[in-house]
Amino acid sequence: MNRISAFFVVIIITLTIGPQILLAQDFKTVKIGVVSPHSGSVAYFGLSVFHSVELAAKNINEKGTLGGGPGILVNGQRYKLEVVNYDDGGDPAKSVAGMRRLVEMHKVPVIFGPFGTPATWACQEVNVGLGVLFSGMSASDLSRKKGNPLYFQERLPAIYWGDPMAQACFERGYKKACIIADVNEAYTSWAKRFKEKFESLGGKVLGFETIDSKAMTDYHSIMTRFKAKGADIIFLSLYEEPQALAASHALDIGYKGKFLLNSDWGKKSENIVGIDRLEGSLVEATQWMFYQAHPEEDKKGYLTAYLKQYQKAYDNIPAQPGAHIYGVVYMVTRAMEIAGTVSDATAIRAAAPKALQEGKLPLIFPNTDVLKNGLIYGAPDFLLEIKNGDYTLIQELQVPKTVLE
Amino acid sequence: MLTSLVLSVIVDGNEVIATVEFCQYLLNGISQGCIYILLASGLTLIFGILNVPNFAQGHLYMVGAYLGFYMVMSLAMNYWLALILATVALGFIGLLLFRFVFYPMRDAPEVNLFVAAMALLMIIEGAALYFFGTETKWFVVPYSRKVITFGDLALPVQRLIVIIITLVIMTALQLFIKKTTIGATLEATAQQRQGAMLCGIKVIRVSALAFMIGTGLAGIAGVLIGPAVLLDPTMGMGPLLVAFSAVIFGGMGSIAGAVLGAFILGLVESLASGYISATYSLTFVFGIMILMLLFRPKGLLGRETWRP
Repeated sequence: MNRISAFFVVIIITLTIGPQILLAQDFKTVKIGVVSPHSGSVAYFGLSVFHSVELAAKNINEKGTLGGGPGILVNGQRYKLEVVNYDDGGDPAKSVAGMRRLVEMHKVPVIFGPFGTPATWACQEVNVGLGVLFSGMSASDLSRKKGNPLYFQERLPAIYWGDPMAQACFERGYKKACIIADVNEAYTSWAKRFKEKFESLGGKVLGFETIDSKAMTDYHSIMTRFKAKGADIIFLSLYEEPQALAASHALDIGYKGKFLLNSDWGKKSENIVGIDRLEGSLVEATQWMFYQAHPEEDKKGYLTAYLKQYQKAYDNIPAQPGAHIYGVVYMVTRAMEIAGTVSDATAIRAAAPKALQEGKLPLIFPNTDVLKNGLIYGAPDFLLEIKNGDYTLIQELQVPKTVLE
Repeated sequence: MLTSLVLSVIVDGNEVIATVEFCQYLLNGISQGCIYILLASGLTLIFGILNVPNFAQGHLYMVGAYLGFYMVMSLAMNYWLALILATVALGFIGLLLFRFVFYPMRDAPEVNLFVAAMALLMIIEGAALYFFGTETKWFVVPYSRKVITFGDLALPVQRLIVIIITLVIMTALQLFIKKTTIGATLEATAQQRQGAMLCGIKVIRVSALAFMIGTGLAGIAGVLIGPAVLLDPTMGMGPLLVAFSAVIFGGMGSIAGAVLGAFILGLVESLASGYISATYSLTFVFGIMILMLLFRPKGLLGRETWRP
């Protein structure tokens, strides 16, 4: 190779690789953690959470939180997000171990997860000591009442939906109900609240069974009992797949009444049972379920885009907590930008309300705010009725802010 | 006890409802009991010939269910063909387990076999998590949502299939053992292993056959129950515990005892779930097993030596 050729080769290489090296040097990395079950009976939820954090991180790394990316901009320094995760198998002890591991080994300032009330409560005992902010997937009212200063709760406490659900059942002429609830506090308190309201309206609760739905595989006998008692509606206060299995087994033994399904209900459970077999049943749903059934209501199209991207990346339908946590990742990373820190969990937590109040984040559930107790408040839930194989809106549900503060 | 339970309900005045409810529990219990029968028979067969408590039986049942799932849902295979192929595949897996795990340990102390069986359980679960993934799966067959009704009684077609296939399989197994020469070698080996060897029976081959049949039965059970439950890599543990209880309840070493034990425990589980609480149904199952161990350690039909 003569000198002129060599000169041009050097120029081309410099022009090609140089900017990339410079760009790479421009970025630092901030690690964010995920603790969720990738195995066990609630792995579907846990994987949806993990994958949704991955998706959000990928999108933020490409476009930034408000579209001014790539990455996040903190005090003039650009950061790329790196997701580190821990499979807790749905076991609270492992959730705590995972939280410690991610903080001590990877120095994460924030953790998304764990999933479920027991795991959330376990992590609430240690997160402040570890100096880590976390977003627990709990629908228990007690989770927000613990006063943890480094905690986000992305779901409104389910217990408050018990009243309107009972009212709706009663208005439709369902006067005899049976209830099956998971042992998880969020589900049992929800079911008990429903029972109290239903009975106060003059209805009769003829059966109330509390079970560990993570371990239960055969609902035939419980459903036989409920059918024999003459229930005209059965409230399934369970996780998504157990709801589907319980409904299937009720139909197996010839139950002809309706079901009251909770907000864990989704496309996967719908596919298991078959929506045509659920005519007249009621669903307490978040915007997640409602927007899926009625994409035209998703005005900004964020959920539709998220679903499309998720399905393309993971060849699966995400579960509802995935959509919730996707928005929380945006909120937290924008809070990092506002707080001017990627490591101070307290400052990031303090900046979170401002991140939402700006109203510029591509949130699936818009118009939300963070209350002092960490509850992400604002997005309404819905009561839907299955009619002609579709979900029809009966009522928009909202809990007064003063009740939750 | 059952009679008094039924009568107490009938005295309340809702005779028809109570009778239908009771019959429905029986139907539920029979279909669940059939799954336990297949698992418990396989356990007994393997234990009788090899003296190995095959703890992996529940996990092989899980593998059978997953194989059925992939054949039906991914390969769009006919369910009946999937049932046969999965059974053959599980039989082959059983043969491999025998050849590479239990055969080399044939002269080892029993505790070694015990530990090896436990280790297999963990290995199969780990492999299932890796290959099948961690999310629950379900599969739909043409009969998944079909239900046959007799008045107020209802029986899903899939559960009816479970009952019929179990009857066919257990009858065929009994005929095979009682009416064929190979079956006679199984019986002879179980009764007196040394004597069988002196008679020229190739006990290694017989043992391999017992393992194949035993694990094949787990495979059948898995594919049969697959469309009625959610599949996950830990789904075999619960049925395994009940199947072991059935073997002890019916009498270690007796296939007839295992069948009877599994049938009774299936009914107990169903009735306890219905009349008392699903949360405590297994408490009754295991409680009965403990009582049997205390008052009749040989079980219902247990014998000193194994007889099919």
